[in-house]
Amino acid sequence: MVRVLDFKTREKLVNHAHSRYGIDKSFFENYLFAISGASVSMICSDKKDKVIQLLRSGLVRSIGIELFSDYRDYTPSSLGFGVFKPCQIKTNFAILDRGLAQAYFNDKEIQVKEVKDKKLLSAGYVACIYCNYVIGTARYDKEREVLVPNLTYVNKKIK
Amino acid sequence: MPKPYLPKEFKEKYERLLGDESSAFFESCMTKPAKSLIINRLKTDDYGFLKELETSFEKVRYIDNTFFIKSEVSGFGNLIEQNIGLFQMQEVSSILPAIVLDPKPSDIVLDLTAAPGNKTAVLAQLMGNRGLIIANDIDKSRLNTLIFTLKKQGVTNTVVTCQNGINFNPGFLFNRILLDAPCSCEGMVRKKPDLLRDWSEALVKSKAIVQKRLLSNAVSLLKDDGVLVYSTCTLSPEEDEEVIDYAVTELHCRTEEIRLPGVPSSNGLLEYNHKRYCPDVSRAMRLWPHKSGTEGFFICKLKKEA
Ligand SMILES: C[S@@+](CC[C@H](N)C(=O)[O-])C[C@H]1O[C@@H](n2cnc3c(N)ncnc32)[C@H](O)[C@@H]1O
Repeated sequence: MVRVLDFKTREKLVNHAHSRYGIDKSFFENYLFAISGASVSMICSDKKDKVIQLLRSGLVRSIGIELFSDYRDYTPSSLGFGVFKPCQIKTNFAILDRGLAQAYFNDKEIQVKEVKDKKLLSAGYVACIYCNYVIGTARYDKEREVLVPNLTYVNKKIK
Repeated sequence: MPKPYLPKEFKEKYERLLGDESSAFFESCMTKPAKSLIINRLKTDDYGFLKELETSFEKVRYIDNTFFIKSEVSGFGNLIEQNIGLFQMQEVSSILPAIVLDPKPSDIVLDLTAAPGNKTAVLAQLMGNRGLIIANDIDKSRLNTLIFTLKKQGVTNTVVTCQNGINFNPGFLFNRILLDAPCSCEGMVRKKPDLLRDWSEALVKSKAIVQKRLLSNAVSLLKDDGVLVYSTCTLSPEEDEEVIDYAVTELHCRTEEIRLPGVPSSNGLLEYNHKRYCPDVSRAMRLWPHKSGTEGFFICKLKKEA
């Protein structure tokens, strides 16, 4: 069942997006957050009343775009992070060249030393950027100095 | 690649309908339509990346941001650019219904039979991810594909529901409704050669019954000044003009002119199999593969009679 996310959890997630990735909190002002199991999604709030009415009706199967596939440990959704522009991500990102972006989509671990442009502050999830696009997220394993693609949903062979 | 199979009954039907033109039609059924892609304006308005893709493109004159792929390299659909949703492979005729609906950022839109979501994605682009779209379909597994497509394309204004469109009622009315109806899919035979193996007049008739029931519910969910677009990827008049005739005569709708300069289309038929349709039906748009080079398609824009 999908329902509106409570205010407290929403604040926690927005604060996390800000502190970990540097995403401006104001970005989220135009979105309504919803939760289904551990998954948190956001939808444009232009027609908030209608969205809430739909959620109450119990008809909704999915809503907007998933931002966190598990809000409890802040696991981001790789597809969802595609809504951000690279300039909105200020910390914990890695800029990949085409070869590394291909490796990312092939679910291959990426050696951090191969990434020229990056700002990796701490272990945990980071945004992966290619050209002008956020292409997904990866887990930064600080001990092994690798990025592990977070491709639970996007698992596709890429040329 | 095997040649498309055209059942005898199907050929006889289109010989009766098209007369001398029928051989050109059957010939066109045997060739693949040009592949095309639409740039996802929610993610980019820069076509620069196309130059890097080792293939050549030709702009589709009558649809913005859309290109024919002239020489496809293998694995094209799995490029990074496709997987991050910068473009969507989509046949040009199937982009048109969303363009005809012309949703605005302030609209509340219903896509009643939406899966796998290609048209929903175009609707979201036209709305700049604003307003609200309800994307509904009866088929859960097809909806999973839709959800994936919308996520990949960065669509953030859509609620997905899984209801029977015949009695779906969310409790409010819509400015715009797209009914891209389930149909006998005759128009897709160029892409899927075996598609017509199970074709029969009985199938066509059974689809027409469902289409009328879906349309009847869609009309009941439309605001008085709203716009409804009915489309199919089939060419049988029973599923096309006859359904529109029903909307006009039974559901108190009127048809509207479709203004899309340059689209190689024909008007709706006014007569078929000794049945005459009301003159309104001629405002519908037919895409015959042998005339348009596209897949076979039918589109009609409807409004409620004041
Ligand atoms: C032509 S396809 C839609 C294609 C879609 N508009 C797109 O562009 O990707 C027709 C859809 O109608 C759905 N359908 C069939 N009967 C239905 C019903 N009674 N209620 C809702 N959806 C239905 C099918 O599952 C199918 O996905």
